[in-house]
Amino acid sequence: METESDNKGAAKSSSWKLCTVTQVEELKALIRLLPIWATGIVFASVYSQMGTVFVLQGNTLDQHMGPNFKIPSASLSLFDTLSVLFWAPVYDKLIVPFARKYTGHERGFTQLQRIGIGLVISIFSMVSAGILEVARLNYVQTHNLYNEETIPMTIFWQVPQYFLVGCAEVFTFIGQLEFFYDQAPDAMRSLCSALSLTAIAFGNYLSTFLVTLVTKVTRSGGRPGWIAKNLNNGHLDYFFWLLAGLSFLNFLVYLWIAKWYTYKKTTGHAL
Amino acid sequence: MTLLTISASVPGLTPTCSGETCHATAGQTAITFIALYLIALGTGGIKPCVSSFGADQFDDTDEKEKESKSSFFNWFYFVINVGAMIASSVLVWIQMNVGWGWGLGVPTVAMAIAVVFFFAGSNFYRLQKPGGSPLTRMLQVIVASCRKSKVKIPEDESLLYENQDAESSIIGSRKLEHTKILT
Repeated sequence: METESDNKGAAKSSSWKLCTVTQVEELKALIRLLPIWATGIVFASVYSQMGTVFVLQGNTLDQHMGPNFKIPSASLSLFDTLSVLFWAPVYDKLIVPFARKYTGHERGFTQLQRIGIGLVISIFSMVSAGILEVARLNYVQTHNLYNEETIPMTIFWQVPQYFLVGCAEVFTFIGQLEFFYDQAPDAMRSLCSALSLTAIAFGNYLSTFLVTLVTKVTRSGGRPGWIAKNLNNGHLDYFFWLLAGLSFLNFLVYLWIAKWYTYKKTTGHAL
Repeated sequence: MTLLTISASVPGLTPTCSGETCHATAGQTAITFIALYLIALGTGGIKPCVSSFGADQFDDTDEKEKESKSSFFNWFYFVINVGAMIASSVLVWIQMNVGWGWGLGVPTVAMAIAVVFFFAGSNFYRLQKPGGSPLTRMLQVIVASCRKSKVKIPEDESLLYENQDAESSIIGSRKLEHTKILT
């Protein structure tokens, strides 16, 4: 990237030849946001598991709630919502003042720290889903339930993983919301907010790509594959470990990028 | 803002057509899909703007308001999830037990009320002045920097070109300081 030239000859030259520092810095600010944006993609793909693989897993568990009512496994995302409803006020009212005492930062954590914490929590949500799957497959094995559609383990074992995703959301998604708003140059706020939303879209594509790739690779040679037609023959736990591993790598990359990032500086007033 | 208006009028299309699509003709299917795509378009318009617009209502130069602004994002997300919870409990129940007409009608009415409220507040909003398309400005920088790739950058930052007003040349925007990175 170049800055604009010191060529002041033409006082009224066109913006296509001479740009102000602000204009150049605007573009640079956007470029600086891109790496942070990219690390949001892996997080979004973890988030999208909630609507896909979590539901598949839930379908194999006992959905009964009382003798007559069966909760649809997709409805468990309700616990994600509840988790957000729980964590958002807790973050605002308890975590921020508490963290402020130790960090001295007026908002408790910096926006980048907040996003980072969420990324770590998202790893745990995948680990929690993985552990449940290991336990589930063990149960299937010891009781020889390979051909059962559902096994007598309550679906509410999934609550922790949904809850952790919700918690991660409060840290990462809200952190990103604020970060992309705040770090965007004044006239680019909506653009940057929109940019952060495209990370969610890319996360969904990444998730689809991963599922397709994993299915293709692990099904070679007639094996049932990790994500098998009958999950009892598969190894969904490996898929969760894969995502946890990816999230961890993503977090390391994030740390490196966040260290390098410099917050925006403005001068003068507007509005 | 135009997009916002479009997005608001969009859900109004859904209930009428979904009430009729019980025996879907090609035309009705088309309407449903057009409605769905319009929702996508509307959401695309509203989603990035509503949080920015909301946060714009706080004055950055006022310490107190600056802090409320940070809280705003938490509560904004909180309220979205309240909506999500109503949608996944009450609305799902209506859709299963009463029908799709009502199931989609209720959010449409809610949306209409929201639009009325939104416009009712028009006089009280702090508005960011439109600064023109950021994409044009970004292209300008790229073009200008390519044209001048051979020009040496001066050591002294003050020699760099910037207008002398308090506000930047982009209407409604604060100026940004020159940074060493990426030069």
